[in-house]
Amino acid sequence: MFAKISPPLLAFGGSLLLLTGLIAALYWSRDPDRSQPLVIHCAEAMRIPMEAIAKEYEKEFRHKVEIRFGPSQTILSSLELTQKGDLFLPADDSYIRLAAEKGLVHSGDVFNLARMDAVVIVRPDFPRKMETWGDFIAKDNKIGLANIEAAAISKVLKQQLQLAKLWKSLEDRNPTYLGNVNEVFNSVHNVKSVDVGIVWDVIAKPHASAKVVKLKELENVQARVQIAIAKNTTQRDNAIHFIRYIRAEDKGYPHLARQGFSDIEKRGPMDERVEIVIHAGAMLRPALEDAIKDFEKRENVRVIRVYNGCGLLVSQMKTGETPDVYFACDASFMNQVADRFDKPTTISNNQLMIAVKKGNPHQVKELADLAKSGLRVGVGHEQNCALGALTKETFIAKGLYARVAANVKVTLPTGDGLVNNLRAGGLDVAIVYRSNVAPFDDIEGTPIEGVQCATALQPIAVSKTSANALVCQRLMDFLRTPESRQRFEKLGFGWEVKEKVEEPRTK
Amino acid sequence: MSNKPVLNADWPFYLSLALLGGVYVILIVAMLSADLFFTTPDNFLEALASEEIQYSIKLSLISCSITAILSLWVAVPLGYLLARTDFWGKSVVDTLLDIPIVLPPLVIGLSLLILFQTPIGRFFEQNVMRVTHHIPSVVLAQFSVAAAFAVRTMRITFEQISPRAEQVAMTLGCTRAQAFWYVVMPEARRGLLTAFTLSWARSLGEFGPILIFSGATRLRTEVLPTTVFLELGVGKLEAAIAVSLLMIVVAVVVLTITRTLGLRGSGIV
Repeated sequence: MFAKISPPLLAFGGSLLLLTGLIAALYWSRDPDRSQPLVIHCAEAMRIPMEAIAKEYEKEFRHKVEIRFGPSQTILSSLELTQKGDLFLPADDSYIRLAAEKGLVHSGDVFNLARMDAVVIVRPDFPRKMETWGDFIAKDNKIGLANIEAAAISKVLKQQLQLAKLWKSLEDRNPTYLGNVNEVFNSVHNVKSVDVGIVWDVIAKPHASAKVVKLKELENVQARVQIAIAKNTTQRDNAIHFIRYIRAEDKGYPHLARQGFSDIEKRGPMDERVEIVIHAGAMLRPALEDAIKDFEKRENVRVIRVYNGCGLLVSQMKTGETPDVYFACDASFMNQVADRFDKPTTISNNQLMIAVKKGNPHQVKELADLAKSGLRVGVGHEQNCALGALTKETFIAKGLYARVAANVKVTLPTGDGLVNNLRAGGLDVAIVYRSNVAPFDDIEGTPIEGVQCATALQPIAVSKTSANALVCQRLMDFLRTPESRQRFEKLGFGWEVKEKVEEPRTK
Repeated sequence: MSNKPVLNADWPFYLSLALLGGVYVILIVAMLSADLFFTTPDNFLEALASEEIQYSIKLSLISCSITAILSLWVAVPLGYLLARTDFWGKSVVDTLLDIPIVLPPLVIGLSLLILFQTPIGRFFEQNVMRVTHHIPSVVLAQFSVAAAFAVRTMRITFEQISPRAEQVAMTLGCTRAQAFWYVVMPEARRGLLTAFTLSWARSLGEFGPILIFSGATRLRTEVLPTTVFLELGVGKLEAAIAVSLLMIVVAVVVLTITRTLGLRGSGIV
């Protein structure tokens, strides 16, 4: 039969049939699940715990997790080139910083996982003692180290030993440089081609027979393991959920602990949902809402928000109702309840403005113009909110209080209320915060300059009696990250936080 | 003249050849023995029982076969054109075809990755088929390197076949195409087999481009070399050796079957 078929047909047809069969065989038994998997670019050093955690997560939540392993630099390059992926988990935090510099992750989307410490690994049949640094760098020892350019452990080792003036003594021994830290372990423990080496403790821990020595000279040679949400993720909520799973004490934590990681960022059980209450000045609402929603998902907490004029909030607190966190519109109100809270941190500032309709139809250019006859002025309530209290102090400082008071038609406990009134035509001018004016195109504002009390400072503090102080502290730190700063500044607030804040550690 | 060695007169000659060549054979045997004695049957069986490694074996076998077939599809026409014809730019094409052989495999993988991030690459992935970090990328990475070897082999094969028989066929009324299919291709079957086995074997050992372009994702793009890399990466040397031996067994079985089928009727098998 085949003799009657022309050779080209036989060749092409036959190979095409064979190809089709092979492709069918390849895809035959694949999981028909079409849902988008959660993609994690993961350092190979994290493989064992992450595979176990991912397997359990897939089983419990029926959501596929696809982990792409490789050396930290390789997975960073892959993320950079493809711009695809949901999570980035390198072996050490220097790669997270690199990723942030390249715009692949936001610094506010970085989560601590654990820590690794450097230890000495000794060949199983090593004949001499290995107790001190001198024993390690003894003349007869063949020393193995991971590549300095590529491996985090050697980079950190060199840095720390240079500080301790020990690096030269190690370099003079002409150590053998191997590809990565796993190769060092293999060479010492399995293949025995070198006598001693320096590896991360988590590499050696799973091997009960490994001979490990901790030297005090290596105490500062550590790596922080962090996981970050990729900027281009299309499954942010799922990514956060998975990170929570890794850190939950009943889920991912045991795997990390078993692998030998130190300082693991443990959180409560996966299903536990902590509740905290925050009282915040009304003007802070636009800046806080999105950040708090994000925080709720990250930490699996429920944040009950109460926004109001600070005068009212302080009155509530004085009746006994102290929230977990208080974010005041001005330090003067925080001072009134300072005894209930830990030392406050100032996050932002907000300047008083003379707000008018666009085009300034009544030509109000400075504070003195508020005394013009027939003008309808709106101000904050002097007792109920910081806005009102600061406005009063400002008028007094300028000697205008009595003259302007005659024109005040509306007093409200929030700047938003005054702005709404102004926009609706019920007022000609209102004294409000910059952040109240910024979102709207149909009103404009003139800042009140030269009066110190015209700039409000917004401090935040955690209650001394909060049952969830750690969660509250993390919320505070979350609000101090660069991403939070962008939100505040976009809304017209000034930024008061001086130091750069990363995700806070629990220890 | 008989090919059998004449022991009395030629033995020093054959002995010296055997000694020189035997060094390399002994090296290979020594390496394999070292691996064999480093691992245990339990490690081997544990590796075979693992779901991930079973998938890795399946993907390796199938992707290598697909790659080898595709390699022949390009190697036969290219090899024939380079062997039989002169065309403008032939030397450039010839040089280009050597590039996948001389470039480090990692560079191939990186180049493929970058290619699919260009507008054309992205268009292809969005409208035709997902490639990067999916199964097709494994085949493409293997093909990029293996095809170069197949082309070389087929070129040499066609060069060694005298054009005379083709020319005779054409004088008897065949077209060039008919002469090719009915005269040249049957004579080239050993070369085809060599090209197939070479590209299959090369694909099996391909690691660098796959790691970069396809990633090392379990139960998706993990092939046997990647498994060795991942096991080594966590210090499981015994498991890595076991999988390496598994690769050797798989390769030997497949190559033996292919060669046996190919040499059937030749008098050798």
